[in-house]
Amino acid sequence: MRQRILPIVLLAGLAAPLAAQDPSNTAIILDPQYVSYKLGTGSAARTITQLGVPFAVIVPFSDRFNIDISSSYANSQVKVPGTATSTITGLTDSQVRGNFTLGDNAAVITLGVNLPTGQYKVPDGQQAAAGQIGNDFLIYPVTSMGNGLAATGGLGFAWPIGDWNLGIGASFRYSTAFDAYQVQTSVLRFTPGNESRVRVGLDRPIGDGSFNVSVTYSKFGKDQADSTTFATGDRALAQAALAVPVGTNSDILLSAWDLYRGSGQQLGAPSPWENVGNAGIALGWRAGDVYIQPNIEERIWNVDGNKAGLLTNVGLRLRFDWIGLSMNPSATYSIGSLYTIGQPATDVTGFKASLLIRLH
Amino acid sequence: MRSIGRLAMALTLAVWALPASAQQKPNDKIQARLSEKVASNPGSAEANRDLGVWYYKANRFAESRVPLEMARKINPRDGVSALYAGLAAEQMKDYAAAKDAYNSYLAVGKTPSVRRDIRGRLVVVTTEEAKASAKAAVSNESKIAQVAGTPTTVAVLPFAINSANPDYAPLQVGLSDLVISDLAKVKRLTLVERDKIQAISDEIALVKSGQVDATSAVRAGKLIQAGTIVKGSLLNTEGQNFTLTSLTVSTQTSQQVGSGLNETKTMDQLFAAEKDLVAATFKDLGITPTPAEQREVDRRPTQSLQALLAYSRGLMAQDAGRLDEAARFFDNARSIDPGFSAALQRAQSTSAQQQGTTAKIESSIKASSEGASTNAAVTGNSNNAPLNNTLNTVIGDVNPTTTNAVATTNTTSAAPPTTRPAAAEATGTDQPAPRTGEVTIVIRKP
Repeated sequence: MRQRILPIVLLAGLAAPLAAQDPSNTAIILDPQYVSYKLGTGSAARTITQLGVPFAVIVPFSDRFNIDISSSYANSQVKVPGTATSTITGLTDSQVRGNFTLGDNAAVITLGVNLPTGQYKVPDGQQAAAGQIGNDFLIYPVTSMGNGLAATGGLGFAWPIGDWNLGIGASFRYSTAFDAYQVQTSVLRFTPGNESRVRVGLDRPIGDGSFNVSVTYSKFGKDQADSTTFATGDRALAQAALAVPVGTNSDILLSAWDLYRGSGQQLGAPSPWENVGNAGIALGWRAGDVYIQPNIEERIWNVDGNKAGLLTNVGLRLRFDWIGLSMNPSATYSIGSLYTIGQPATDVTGFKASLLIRLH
Repeated sequence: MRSIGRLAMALTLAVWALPASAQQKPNDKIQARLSEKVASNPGSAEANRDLGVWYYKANRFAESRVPLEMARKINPRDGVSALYAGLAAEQMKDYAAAKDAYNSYLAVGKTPSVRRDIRGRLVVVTTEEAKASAKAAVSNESKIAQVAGTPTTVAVLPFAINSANPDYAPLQVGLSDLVISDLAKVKRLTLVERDKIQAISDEIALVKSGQVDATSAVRAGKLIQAGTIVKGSLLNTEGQNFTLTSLTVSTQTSQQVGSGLNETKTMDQLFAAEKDLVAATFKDLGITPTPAEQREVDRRPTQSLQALLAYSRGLMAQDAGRLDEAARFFDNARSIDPGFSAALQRAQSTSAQQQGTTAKIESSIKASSEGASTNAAVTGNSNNAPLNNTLNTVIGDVNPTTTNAVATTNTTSAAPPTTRPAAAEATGTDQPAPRTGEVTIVIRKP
């Protein structure tokens, strides 16, 4: 039954767009980023760096149907004085996602697959680099080198309510087992818990500017590491942004997000709740054909009610077109501290440079 | 299993049931809302643009032009305003305004497929403009004829072809095209575009049975305000021999200027004869090209008579609006002589002309990120928060991929993590502090 129905569904999905497909509007995005954080000072300083090159191709087959394919290449390193540098390099997992719009922008069906093209059976010498890029406070462009084969299906809806647009969505991610780590000849077989996700958001124009706010909540099933099962805690992400034009040529962007992870269990240890909050302000203006946007952000990390990190990011973003490409170079300098109970604070300095290039 | 089947069937039916044009039509409430926004903020380019696009989509083209032109004035770098101003002007048959707006879009517009379509549209608009101009010229002939063009404004009329071989008939436009191209290489001369000559030629039935009489030729020259006309003919009575003649005529005096050309050659010498005709015309006009211009004039676009004949057939088909046929002939000319760049250009412009329908342009702009604002005119919401943006954000949040991460990078120094690194989080190896982590691997008994 399923074998017969699946082709029908696929054909149905493809039939409508075929009439008006226009893949010539395909967008290609390449975003090479270099990030480096130095933890501590002097001879004891540890350095975590990553050169990440995320890339994405978005193919709009029609007004209603588009597919995007994305992946990343990354080289990550953790340098700790007195020990060998932990390095992991290569392609990450790839995602293929199709979005089908129903009605006049009233609803979207989304289906995605995470293909395990990344790095698996990560050996001893690479585990530090593979793990630390996943930190939610010191954010790296590539946060994971592999999450295993997974499929996500979801629905999104949008309604205008007066001047507001209400956007609601839900999805379910089914994950499969993969070989996460290898220690000598032993392999850790890991199965992430399935994820149910809901999202509610509002946005509206404000004059010639805009405002949006949303909350996304993810509930995870139990992870399984070999025969051990545990849950690391559900997640909630709140985001808000306000963009307001100032005069005829400039604007101000206020943005904030907050990521909360509930308490749970790690492999062999409790996992306390944690929260990362980030707020920023950016002032943008146009000078000729170049949009210039200096910005400053403050990020705070709290673990189990205790301050765990503080980071100030000062940056400059530019945007301009060049030979038909949208160019978005940016640079950010970070300074802050990490805190551990009973220990002196660890200084953190960081630098990030990126060049987002978008065709179409 | 049965429930999966039912769900799939329902989904299938739902998808098939969606009409391709399931668009929310513009309604008066939205128009009122957009008008209010313009009234409360008349200096807003976005508000004027949204209202103008709404009027356009409601087929109220005349009304759409005022807010669209206002939007262009306020923000000359807004491609969508320029595009819709061009579409509206074209609907109103204001071809000059349409060309101006389309050229603005080519300068500031951001969607490559729309830019490509616009280039094709410009060919159509130019042709339509020439036809409209020809009609206007004929209806105002008594006034126009009083204003003589300068002697250096030259119109090359279609050649008269006298041949028993019908294959040579298309040379009437092919030869004139070659001559126009060569004469135009001298900067002192202003050549009337072939489109305009063709439009006048069609309007006054200039070519009758392959002939152009002297009176009609001068009349045509006056109508297109050329000071000088070049009237050529090719006589091929038998075999490969032909006689090529030309007359250079002042439209002011209706008298021949200089001695023109009269030479007999064989068909394999046609291109040399055409260069002789061009040289004779320069002599008639008392013009000596600079060495650099002469080198350009001496360059032959093709050496193949067959390629020229195919190209000429393409021009005739294009003039008649048979674009499919024209594209085939231009492609044929290119395949005979791959170095025939004029054929390549014509093939490209014909292809663009075929593609660049107003409906296609609208469809392309709507599908683009640049054109998200056009949805505002349908929904009544400002372009800053149209529903599709809302939906895109929803989908990015419930089914995040790397695509979302790179798409939001330029609005924050670091987008919040939208997916968890499952293995790192589960093993606690995602912590940056100098802690000791340990991975324990439980090995099952065999």
